[in-house]
Amino acid sequence: MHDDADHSSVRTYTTIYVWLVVLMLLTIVASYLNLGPLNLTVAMIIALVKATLVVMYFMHVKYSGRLIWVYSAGAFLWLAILLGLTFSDYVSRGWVPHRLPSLPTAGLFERPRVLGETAPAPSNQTRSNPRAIPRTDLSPSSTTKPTATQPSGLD
Amino acid sequence: MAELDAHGNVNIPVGRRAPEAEHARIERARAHGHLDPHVAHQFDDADQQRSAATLGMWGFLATEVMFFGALFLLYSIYRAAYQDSFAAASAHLSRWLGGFNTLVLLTSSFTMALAVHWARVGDNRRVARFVTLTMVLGAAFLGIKAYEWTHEITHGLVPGSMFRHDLFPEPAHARELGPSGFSRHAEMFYLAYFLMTGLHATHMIVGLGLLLTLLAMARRDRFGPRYNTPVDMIGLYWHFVDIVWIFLFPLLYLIHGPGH
Repeated sequence: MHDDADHSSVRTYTTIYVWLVVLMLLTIVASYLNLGPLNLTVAMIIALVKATLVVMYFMHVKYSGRLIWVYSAGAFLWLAILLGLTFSDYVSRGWVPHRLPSLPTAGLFERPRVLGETAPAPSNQTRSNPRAIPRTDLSPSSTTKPTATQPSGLD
Repeated sequence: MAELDAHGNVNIPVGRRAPEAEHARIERARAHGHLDPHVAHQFDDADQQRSAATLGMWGFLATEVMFFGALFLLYSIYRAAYQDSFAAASAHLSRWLGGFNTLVLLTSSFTMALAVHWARVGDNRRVARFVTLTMVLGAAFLGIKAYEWTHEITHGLVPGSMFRHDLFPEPAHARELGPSGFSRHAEMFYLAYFLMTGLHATHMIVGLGLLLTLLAMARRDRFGPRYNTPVDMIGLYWHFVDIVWIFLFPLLYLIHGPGH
């Protein structure tokens, strides 16, 4: 790492900074477009590119030894395992029909089907999922009515 | 006579050293005025010491990724399950304040990178200047964050008994299906919001304290080509905090789509 200072010149830092600001503006502009589920994909790709630029240039990983590469990549690999394995559980919960009408822990994503029941029609509104939370759970009388001490509303 | 590398460090291949040879190395170096007071005795030279510090710092940052990772997981699962509620909840945040804060933090990362650069060159005046700039930007970020939090607290967006469920009525297209817990899921968004931005702000405050020590060291002319590890390591920390925000910003502020 003798030549770190030579590589990471002020000019490189400035270029990376300009790119970061451009990407930030891009992600704000993209959030105004209606791309459906692609909105999240675009925002995450831009965030990943920004993070990679910071890691590579500001944090000098590009000019570091292999051990640093392994450590920095390892950090995000473990994060991918954490997210990947947990989501593989939640996403697949509705896939296998279940003997019981419902399980309390199941159905964050899709209500488990009772054996013999046909798969529900796909819907992009989580709200219209037949799994509805009982009214008693909400205690609307105490929470939904604003009282005099509460602020009157958002501007 | 000891060989000297480009940085003036005594250069003997690692692993080929008997204790007496090590002793002789130190003696020779001391006689020639080359023994670097900044290199701890367990290291061969400044480069090796720097590699060890960098590796240790990345090990720490890996644990930090997992620390924040648990909160990102919480956020992701609830958002995947309750997209509409999360979008409605996010609409109460100002994406322009969030965007401005992103700009402030990116700029602070840039000034920090320059501080690291000048520490490597050995220009302590510039190090002090850029560390100060980084601190000012970091404090500005926290100030804007505090303003946002105040707004949210006074407008009943804090999860718990004060949370204003009436701000998040059931969407019209689903009202006939009965209550779905729409507002409670919006409350979950604000739970994730306060946890994540709170942990991030805590890291910023720690970072400001670290930068203060850097400023004191730079004022005393401590950094040079052979000793800049503190600037380097605190720089890594600061950039990491920046990266966390790079993900927090689109996830918290930019999910409610057009029309807000």
